[in-house]
Amino acid sequence: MKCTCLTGFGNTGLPNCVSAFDVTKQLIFVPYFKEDGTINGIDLTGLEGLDQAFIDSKIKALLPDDRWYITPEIKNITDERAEDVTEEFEDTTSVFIQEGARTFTGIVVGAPPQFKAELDKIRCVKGGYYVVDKSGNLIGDNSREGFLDPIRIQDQSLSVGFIKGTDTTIQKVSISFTVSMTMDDANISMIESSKITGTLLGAMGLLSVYKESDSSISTAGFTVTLGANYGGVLSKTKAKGLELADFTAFNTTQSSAETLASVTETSDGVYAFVYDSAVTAADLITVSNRASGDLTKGYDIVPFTILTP
Amino acid sequence: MRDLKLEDKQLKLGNTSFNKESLQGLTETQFKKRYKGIINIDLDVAWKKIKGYTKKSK
Repeated sequence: MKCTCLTGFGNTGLPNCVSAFDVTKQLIFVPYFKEDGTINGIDLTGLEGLDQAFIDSKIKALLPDDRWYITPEIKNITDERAEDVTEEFEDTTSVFIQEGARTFTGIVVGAPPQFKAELDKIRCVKGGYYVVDKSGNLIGDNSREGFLDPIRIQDQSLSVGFIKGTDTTIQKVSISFTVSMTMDDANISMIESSKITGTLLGAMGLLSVYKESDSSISTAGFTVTLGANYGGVLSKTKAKGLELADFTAFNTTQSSAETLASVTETSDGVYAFVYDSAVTAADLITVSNRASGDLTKGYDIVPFTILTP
Repeated sequence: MRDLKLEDKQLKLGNTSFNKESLQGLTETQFKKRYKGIINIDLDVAWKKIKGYTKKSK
């Protein structure tokens, strides 16, 4: 905080019961700003707690800017401020200039290199994070009245590394970033776990789903294999259980929505699409996530294209 | 009138989720030609169910 001429002493009493943060277990990365430019925080107005519907609406949000990107469990965490910046004088006294930067480091045990690729993307936007601690509390920044905002990450500070296993250690992905200097530790606050009725601690983020291959492309439909970018190159994790409602098709050539008549999962992760009406030869069809609602299956379909022969 | 959820607009038979609107006006021949070798239930059984559904929704 900055001192002004009106700043007096702060009172030093403490209530009998003080809520304490527990050790960090998971982070929730959040785009710091929504599309409309406002901070992507939790509006506390009328909020009595976080139920499962609220948590799902965040973790499985259709719009990427609204989504909470919750990590698996993070271990070996350090979350500390560097030494204060001070100016020292010839008589060996010193004055406080500013706090040192807070840096977070931790590891996700057993995570593969592809997980690093997903986390690296967070560096591309102005990001923030919430903390889910061991007790299930959700910790954020309460500096804005009526909101629990994500704690702002210093732009471009996120660093993610893949650490290979050794004879005595398992592979892991390391995460480190610096907290923005605009954040004041005095504003860190939380929604206590007693107010969180949904499952937050232990929740999983979405899996990105990519088109691995396509076949049987005609003016009537096509078949694609969809998978997450995990597993061996010949045994990728398949995206199972998707249905018609999970997809939207757009005819890029004709600039119009393309209605799908059906989607059939012919085997794990292999989907046969049938158009409602035949498309025209050379039409380029783009397939992406559902048009509305949450991504309830836990998959975020990375848009893919089909070129009609 | 409430806006139907996307799941309400589909009909699930076996491994296939159909767009209910696309089923309207579909003939048995068109259906069987379109879905031969795709759906994992007998085409006659599937058609009976679809016919039942399209009759109900008229």
